[in-house]
Amino acid sequence: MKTTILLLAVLAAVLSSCSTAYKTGQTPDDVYYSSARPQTENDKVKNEDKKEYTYTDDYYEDRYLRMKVRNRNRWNDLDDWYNYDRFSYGYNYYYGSYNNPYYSWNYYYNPYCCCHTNNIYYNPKVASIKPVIKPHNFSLAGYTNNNYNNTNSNTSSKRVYNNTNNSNNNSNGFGKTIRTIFDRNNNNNNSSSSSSSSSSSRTYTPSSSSSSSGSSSGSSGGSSGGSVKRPTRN
Amino acid sequence: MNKIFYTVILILVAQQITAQVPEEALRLSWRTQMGTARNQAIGGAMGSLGGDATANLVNPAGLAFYKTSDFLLTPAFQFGKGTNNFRGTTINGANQNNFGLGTSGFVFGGYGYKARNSFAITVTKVADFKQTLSYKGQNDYSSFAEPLADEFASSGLTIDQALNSNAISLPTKMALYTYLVDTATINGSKQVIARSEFTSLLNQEHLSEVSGGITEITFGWGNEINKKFMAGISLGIPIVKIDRNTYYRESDASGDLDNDFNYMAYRENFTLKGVGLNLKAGLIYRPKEYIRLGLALHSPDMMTLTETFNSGMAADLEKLFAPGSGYDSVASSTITGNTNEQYKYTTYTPGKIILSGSYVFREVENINRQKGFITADIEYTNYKWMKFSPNGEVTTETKAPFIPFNDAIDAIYKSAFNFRIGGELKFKIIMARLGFAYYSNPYKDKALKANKMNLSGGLGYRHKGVFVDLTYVHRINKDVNFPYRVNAPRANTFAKLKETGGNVLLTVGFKI
Repeated sequence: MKTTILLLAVLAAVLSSCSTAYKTGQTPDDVYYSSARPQTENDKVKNEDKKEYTYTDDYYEDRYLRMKVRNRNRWNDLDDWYNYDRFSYGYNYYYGSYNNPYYSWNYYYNPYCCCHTNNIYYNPKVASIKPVIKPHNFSLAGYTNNNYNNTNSNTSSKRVYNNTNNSNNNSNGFGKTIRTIFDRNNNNNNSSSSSSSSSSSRTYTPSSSSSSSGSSSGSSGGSSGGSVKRPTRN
Repeated sequence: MNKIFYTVILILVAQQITAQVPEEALRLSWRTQMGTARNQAIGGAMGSLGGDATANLVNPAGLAFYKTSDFLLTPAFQFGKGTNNFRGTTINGANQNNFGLGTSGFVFGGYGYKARNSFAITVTKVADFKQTLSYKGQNDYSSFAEPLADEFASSGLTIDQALNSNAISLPTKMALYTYLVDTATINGSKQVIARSEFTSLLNQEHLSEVSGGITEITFGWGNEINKKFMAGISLGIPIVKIDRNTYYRESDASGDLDNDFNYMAYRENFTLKGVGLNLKAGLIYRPKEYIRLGLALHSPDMMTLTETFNSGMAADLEKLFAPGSGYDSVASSTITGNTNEQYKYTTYTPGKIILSGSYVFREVENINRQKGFITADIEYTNYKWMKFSPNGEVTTETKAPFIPFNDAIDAIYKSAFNFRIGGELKFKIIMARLGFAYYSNPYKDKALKANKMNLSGGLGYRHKGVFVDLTYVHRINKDVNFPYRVNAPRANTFAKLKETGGNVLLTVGFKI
C-alpha cells in the first residue's frame, strides 16, 4: 500500500511538473518530426538562473561586471586576472595543484588514485562451483527422437507374461498372470522416420549383484553417498 | 568399443547432471515484441521508425528522432484460452487473465550539441508467462514410467545402488522407491518393468500452471549523427521470475482391477529467478525524405539464474502388496535430503538481427500535414544459439554438465525469421492503426507445428501535450508439449496446443 501511495505521489509530481508549453498549439509527434522543445517564460528565467552556476565565459564576464559596478576601485586588482590570468596555465596550476582541495586530496590521500600503484587491489579468483546436479530426467536420446505416436491403435497385440518372481524380494504380489498391451515392438509411428525395435524387454543386468545401499558401480559416475532404501513391502 | 563406452558415459552424464531443460530456455527466448500501445498496434515494428519509446527495446537509433521529452505509462491486460489436443482428445482450457506493463518510462529528447542526443529509461514486461496448460487423453502405447524404467535398466545398477547414485535422475529414483519401476522375472529372465505398462489402456492428464515473466529495465541513448544517419545503443537489465507447478497423472483405463496398477501421479514445483544483461545497438539511415531504413543488433540476454525445485511421486499398485495397501508416495526431500533443491547457472537467449524499412508521409512538424506511415521489420534469430553455462569460472570441467542440454538445443531447435508490419493513418490529433506480426516455428522437426501470430489495431489521440493510445492485439499461438520423452526407437507422444486471446494496452503519455 505504501508503495502504491509513493508511486502515485511520484506520478502526481511528474505530471504536475509537465510544461504548459504544449497546452496551447500543436503537440509534436516525434515519430514524424519534431523540433526542439519550445521555451516558456519560466524556462527562460530558469536558464538565466542557471548561468550563475556555470563557469563559462559569460559567467565570468557577468560576475566581473557586477563586481565592478558595485565598487569600481575595490576590484581594480582583478582586472588583470579577468583579462589574462584566468586563461593562463601558470595561475591555474598554482591554485589548482596546491590549493585546490580536490586536486590535493586526490593526489596525496585518495587511495583510488591511479598514481598509487601499490594500492591496487586484485579481486580474488572466484572459487570454482560445484557441478550442478538436477533431478530432471534428461536423456538426449529422448530429445533427438523424432518418432511420434499420437494415436491409439486399438489393435495392440497383447502379450501375456507369467511373472513368477520379483528379484528384489520386496514384493510378493507376483505369481499371477499379468497382461501387458504396451507392445514395445509396436512403434506405430505416424511420422516419416519410422523404425522398428526388437527390444521388447529390458534386461536387468546390474554390474554388481550386491544390493547393499550406498555403493555404486564404476560406470555410474559415483554415488551420492546416501543411504536411501525403498520401504519394505509385505 | 571405445565409441560405445564413451556413448554410454555421455548418456549417463546426461542423465545425472542437468541444468535447465531446453523447453525452459525456449520459454525465455521465444517471445513476441512488447512495446507501447502505439507500437503494439502496428505489429511491434520499430526497427526503423523511431520516435516511440519502444525504440529503446528494438533499435535505439530511433530515440534520436526525439527532440522533445515524454513521460508515458502503459498498463496492459492479457487474457486467453487454450484448446489442446492430446491423442485425439480435445479439451478447452480455463480462461486466464493477467495484468502486464507495456513500455513505460521517460524519454528525454533534444539534448546536447545541436539538440542531437536523446536518452531513455523504460520499464517493460517483455514476456508474460502466465499460462494454465492442461490436456488429457488415452494412451495404449507408452507410459510416463517407460523412460524411467529404461534409465534404470541401462544403468547397470541394483535398485539400492540406483537410489543412492548421482547417475540416476530423481523421477527414476522416486519410481523405484514407490515400486512403480521394479524388477521381475519374466519368461525366465530378470527384467526391469514399469507397472503402468502392464495395463491395456491409460488415462493420462497433464496440468501445468505457470506464472511470472521477464521485466526489463532499459537505458538507451540515441544520436543524430547528421540528417541522414542516426545511431543508438541501449543496455537492458531483464529481471526473470517463473513459477511453474506441474501435475501429471496416469491411471488404468482398462477396468482391470487385478493388473497391479491403479494410478501414478507426479508433481513438480519449479521456481526460476534471476537477473540478466543485454545490449542493443542500431543504425537508421534516411536516404531521402520519407524513407527510413534500419539495422539493429541485439546481443543475447545473459541471465544468471537460480532454480528452486522440489517434486513428489505417488503410485497405487492395487493388490500387489495385498493384504497391504498398494499405495506409496515419496517426496524429493526423502531422496535428496533437502526440502528444496537449488541450482545456479547462466542462460543465454539467442541474439537477433533486425532489418527494417519505413515510409513516413510526411516528415514535417505541422501535424496538419502528417498523414501516416507504414513500417515493417524482418528479424532473424537462431534458437540454437540458446546456451546453458556454469556460473563463475568456465572450465572444461564446469561446462561438462551443460553439454548434453546444449547438444539437445542444437538438435531440436532451428533458426527463424520473424515478421512485423504495421501502419498508421493520422488525422491531425486522431490516429488509426493496424498491424500484423508472425513469429516462426523454432522447432527443427516439421512434425512439430508452432508459431505465434498477432493481429492488432488501435486508436490514438494526441493533443495539448497529452497522448493516449489504445490497442487490441489478438493472439493466435500454436505450440506442442511433451508430457514425457521416450528413447528412440520408441515413439514420443505430444500434445498440440492452440491458444487464442488478446492483449489490451493503454498508453497515457505527457510531453514534458
